[in-house]
Amino acid sequence: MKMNSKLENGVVYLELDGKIYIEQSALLREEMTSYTKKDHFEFVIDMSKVSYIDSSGLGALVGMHKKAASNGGSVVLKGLTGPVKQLFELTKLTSIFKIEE
Amino acid sequence: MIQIKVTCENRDVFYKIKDMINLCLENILKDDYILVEVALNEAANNAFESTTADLVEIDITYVDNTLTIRVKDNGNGFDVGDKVKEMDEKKDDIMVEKLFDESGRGLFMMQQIMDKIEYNEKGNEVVLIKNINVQEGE
Repeated sequence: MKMNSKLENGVVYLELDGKIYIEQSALLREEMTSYTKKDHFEFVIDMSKVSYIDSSGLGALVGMHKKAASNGGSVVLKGLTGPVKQLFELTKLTSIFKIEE
Repeated sequence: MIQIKVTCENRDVFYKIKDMINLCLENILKDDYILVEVALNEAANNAFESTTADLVEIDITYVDNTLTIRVKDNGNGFDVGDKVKEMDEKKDDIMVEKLFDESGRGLFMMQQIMDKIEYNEKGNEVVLIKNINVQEGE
């Protein structure tokens, strides 16, 4: 999975491309934590090019959402599509993240 | 009939052959293979995470429009009866309960994706079954 991130006007923009397996879930969490350690808690994650996620990736995102939310921030997920979107809906996680097209 | 049988000592070995498994699943399921890949990985990851297992067998069979995936580890298993009972009783509400949990979704996801999942009594073997709708002309 390719991962690009940038900080712009206090918001961390992450673009993910590929499949999020266990290893990539850990890398994603590490990347997001590198920003929360510097007190950045607003995230927008472009998921439009993510073609696979399982419970490890969902768990990492939930963990980062809790971290962000408890510090007044949020995690926005953009471009959920296909089976990845189905998994967020099936696990009801669409109710805790802000979802954008 | 298509059949793949692999035995993996750890997750790294499994990852090395995953592409082959995914190619097989994609051939059988076409665009729907990703969700079944998720179900298989949930079962496999649970097996690899067993602290008492050092070998995981994965058996994939496709015959008569039925895909059967068996994942077995040589560990002590877990108390699967209680977990399955809880899911049967709570149904979708279990995901509401686990909304802010960082783990514990795998079993539910497998159950939702596949048509049937069956655990052995010991909890170290799971069979995932998916019936494939074959279009006319295929």
